Amino acid sequence: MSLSDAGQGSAPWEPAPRLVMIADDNEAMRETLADIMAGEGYLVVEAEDGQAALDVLASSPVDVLILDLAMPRMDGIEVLEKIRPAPPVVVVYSAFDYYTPGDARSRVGSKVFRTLRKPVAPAQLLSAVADAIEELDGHDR
Amino acid sequence: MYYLLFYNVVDDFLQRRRPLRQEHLELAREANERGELVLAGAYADPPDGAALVFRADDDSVVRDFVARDPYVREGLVKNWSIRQWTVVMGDE
Repeated sequence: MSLSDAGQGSAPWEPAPRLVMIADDNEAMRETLADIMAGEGYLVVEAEDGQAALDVLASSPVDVLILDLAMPRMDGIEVLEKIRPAPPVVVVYSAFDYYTPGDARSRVGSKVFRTLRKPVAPAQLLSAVADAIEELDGHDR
Repeated sequence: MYYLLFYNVVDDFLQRRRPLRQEHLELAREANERGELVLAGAYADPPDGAALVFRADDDSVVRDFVARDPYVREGLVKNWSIRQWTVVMGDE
């Protein structure tokens, strides 16, 4: 697990950067997604598998979780089943995964905010996270 | 038409790319949003290069990407090549 700094510093009157966790066992994928998010000013925490993701969630107020479905030790479906309360979850998946986004929705659909197939377009990922935060803020009001 | 761009990178690429990473990702993101860059990623085990797939009318789009890529500019890419690719299958 590692925490990346936000891409830009925040002025005092700006809201605090949002914390996004990326749980993916593929290091290259995880780092690229983390760098994309950090470049947009998000704080980013990385988890290399589902258990590491749960460990972070137990102690950190993650605003949005970007969750790979296929991971060792604990896969994304099990993470979805165990997290509560759950932040909005953007599920990323490969066409080669054992599980499909349909499996995730049928078993824990209420926790899945959006599904994105890999390879993920940066604009789609950023849009999904921004939409999740907007919905989160709407619930907080 | 599709074009393949191949990069071969220096041995300490992962260390040297850090300060250039955001500029490179921004370049890639813009090309992706224009519909030019279709797929991109590093080789696995060992990560000693990368392949990028472009969709464009001619290779000038690819050559422009290379010219603007900080990894090339700063010498992290030892050499690169472009090949036109005859795609015969897929649903992209």
